[in-house]
Amino acid sequence: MSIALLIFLILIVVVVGLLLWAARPLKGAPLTPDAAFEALSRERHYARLPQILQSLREDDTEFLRVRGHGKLLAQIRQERKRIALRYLKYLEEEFRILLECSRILATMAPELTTKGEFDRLWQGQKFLWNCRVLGWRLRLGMQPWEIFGTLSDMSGTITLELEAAAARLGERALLAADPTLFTQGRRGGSK
Amino acid sequence: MGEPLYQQVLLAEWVVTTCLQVVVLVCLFRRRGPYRSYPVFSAYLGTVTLQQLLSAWWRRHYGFTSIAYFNLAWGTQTVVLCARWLAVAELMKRVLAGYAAVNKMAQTLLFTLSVIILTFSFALANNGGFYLLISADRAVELTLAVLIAGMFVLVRYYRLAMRNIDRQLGIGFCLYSCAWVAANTIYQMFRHTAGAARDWDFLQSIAFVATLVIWIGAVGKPVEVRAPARAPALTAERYGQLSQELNERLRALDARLKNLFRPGDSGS
Repeated sequence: MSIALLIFLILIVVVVGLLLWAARPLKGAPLTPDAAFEALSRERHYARLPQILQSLREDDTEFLRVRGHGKLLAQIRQERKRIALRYLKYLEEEFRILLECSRILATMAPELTTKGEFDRLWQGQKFLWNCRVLGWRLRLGMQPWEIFGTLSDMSGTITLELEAAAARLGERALLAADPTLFTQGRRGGSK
Repeated sequence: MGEPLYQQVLLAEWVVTTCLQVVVLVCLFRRRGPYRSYPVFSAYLGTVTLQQLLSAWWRRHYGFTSIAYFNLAWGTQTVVLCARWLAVAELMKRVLAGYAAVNKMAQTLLFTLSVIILTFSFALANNGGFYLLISADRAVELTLAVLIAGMFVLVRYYRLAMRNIDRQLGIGFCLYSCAWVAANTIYQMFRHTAGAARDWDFLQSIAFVATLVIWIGAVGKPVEVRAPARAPALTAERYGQLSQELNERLRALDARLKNLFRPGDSGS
């Protein structure tokens, strides 16, 4: 059997696989532009996580180890792992919404560059991969407790940043859909 | 398979294929059928039916292994292949028409991909004579299959609205081209085996029957009057602003995640 012919057969299997993957129905209805922008400006569930994470910092439980409450310490660590995984899940969800929104924007765009689209796709896959890796590292107990301080510190700022950006994005999308809102807004402000 | 039995199978296959083609044509040209929306596809099916009738008549007079039949089969195949390319182009135009930027990017991307596939296929085909013909046919079919699969990937990636009829027609075209490439390749692998040419012909017919069944499912249903909802267009400036904002947020999220891997980093 010639290698060239084998390559053709492999190519065909790949093409059929791609077709079957791409032609299967979408899970749930795709976001409409309005729904995407609305989803971005919605309050995030993980906005309350900084407080939860703060209460679970390692130094908060150090005294348990010193006093020999090993069982309780293990229980708390388990709880921390669960919370970190939940946080990761929300982060991933947020990223997915952003990617979805970027695709919706692309369908409305007057022009796209192949390189730009590939970059975004690559970044997205990298991020999701990192999310998975971190999730597994947490589950396997690798580098388990040190990250909580980081999580606690970052979650506050990230939430604020995301909310602010989402609000701006929502406003712009609204103005893009109806530019008269801008002038109405100005009139309202001058009263 | 003995000769008389093979002739019967050939006849049965011809009857089934022709009947199915007629059914697709009837579905297309029925009252308020989709032939107006798919003129090129309708013309393609008409061409295939004509080829089917002509080749049956030719085969009856000159025989399956005659040069006259060979010339007619490959001559008409070129016409049918051109018609199929046009039908696929029509389909892609219909699917991507409402999305100017995606359409433009898809054209560039898929054209580049087509050139690569064609070059690659011809580079791998180091045969002469009849096998060169088969290799050329395979190259064209493989390009068609990749084009359609590429379109489906783009549609999925951008969550573009797609009518069921377009989806099924596309799947039919792609699977048929894939089956054709597989049949040509398998034939080249086992060309020295007795009856390889017959099996090759039979395999292609089976693939075509399956495709016709998919197409009947597509054009047999009532025509979707309402076009799928499409996003409103943005100006270049507005898109630039929104896109930049989104990219910044994606980058910020990515940077935050990277910080999670660094213990002791505050992630600010």
